[in-house]
Amino acid sequence: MTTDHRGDEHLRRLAVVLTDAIDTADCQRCLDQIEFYIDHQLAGRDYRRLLPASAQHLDQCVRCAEDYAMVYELRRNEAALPQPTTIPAARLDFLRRPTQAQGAERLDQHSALRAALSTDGARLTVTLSPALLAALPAPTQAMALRSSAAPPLLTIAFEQPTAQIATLQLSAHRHPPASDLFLLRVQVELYDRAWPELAGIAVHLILGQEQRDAATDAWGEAVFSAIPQSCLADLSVTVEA
Amino acid sequence: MSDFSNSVTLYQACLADGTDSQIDAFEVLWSHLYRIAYAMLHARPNGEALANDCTQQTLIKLHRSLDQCRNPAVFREWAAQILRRTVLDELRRPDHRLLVTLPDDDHAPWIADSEILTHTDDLAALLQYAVTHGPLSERSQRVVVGRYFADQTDEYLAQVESDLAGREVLPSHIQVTRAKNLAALRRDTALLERLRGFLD
Repeated sequence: MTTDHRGDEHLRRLAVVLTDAIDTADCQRCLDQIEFYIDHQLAGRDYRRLLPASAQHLDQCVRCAEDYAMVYELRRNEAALPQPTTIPAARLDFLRRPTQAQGAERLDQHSALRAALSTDGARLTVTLSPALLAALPAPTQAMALRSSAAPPLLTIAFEQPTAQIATLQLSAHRHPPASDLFLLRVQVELYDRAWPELAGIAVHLILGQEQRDAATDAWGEAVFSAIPQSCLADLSVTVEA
Repeated sequence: MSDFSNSVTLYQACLADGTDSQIDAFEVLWSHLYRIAYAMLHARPNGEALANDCTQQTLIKLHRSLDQCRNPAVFREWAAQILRRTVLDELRRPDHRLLVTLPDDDHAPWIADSEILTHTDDLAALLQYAVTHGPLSERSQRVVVGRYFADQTDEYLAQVESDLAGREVLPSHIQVTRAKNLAALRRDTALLERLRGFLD
């Protein structure tokens, strides 16, 4: 193998690929660009030169390389994708217009939800209570929890609760199934940031004297697990946006 | 139901809050996106439920982010991109990580010869040694050498491998092969230290 000046550049690049450490931020940046990368590739352009950082990361990260391969092969074979035998019905509750009776009921729920909120600077706290849970409608299966067939224990959504937070959603699911424990998902959407830049928002769960801390992922979701069901009506969640 | 084969018409109907047209449009979007999610996930444990969840998540995100679609003429593709990213993010959750790492015989641990590391003063020679003597199969060597020593595209390398194997090899296969084999070389910390010495 002979090398010239340009060859030296390629070899230095190989040495960098081998020696540079990578982290999850690099993976997120690569995933952010992956559709553009594939756009260029499918259009016959010099995609590795157009997006060199992505090209380097795909040589460094097996996980991202496999994700790239999945999307590339999917887009390349769009006309021949494996087809489901049936398509489940769409769940479009989030679009439904309320009837008049539902409108009056929503007013009571709205008051209960507002009462559950408190703010302290950039911190928003939601405090659950037996009264609040009683005012809420029975949760529907709007978001299946993986293999669970049971409806959620709780789903609450707050629209525009603060100047920073566009939406805050809480949902609780029994997990493991048929146990006395539940898993709480906290979903945050902000005005000034959107997916996939919602990672790192601090979320605190208060269970009596116990506090658990988490941070949101790229989708703005934080998850707390193994919460005793007996705590559901007395917990509070604080989001620092 | 309106004709939603046109992306602009579909997009405008999705914006029409509180109308039957909006519901129809989101049902069309659901079917379109579910097929993609199914194609990505059907082979996994609980794949159909995952496809269902990811499609639902995407639909809700789309409903809240419609104003971020800069070009309604490609709304379907924009929605599909969001769906694909939703699936990729979902598959990175700890729930879906393998609990057991199986031994990888193709990429067994390999240690570079210390004499070679100490006495090789040329970056190209060192990399050549690592590629040709490291834990890389013949195909793996070809895709690493082809990329970094001969500046060949993955499309070209895929054609070469397809001709050799007598079956289709895609550029994406080349990329994954190369990533896995470079990962195998990265396990030798002494080799990496020596390479860093050349770069500093």
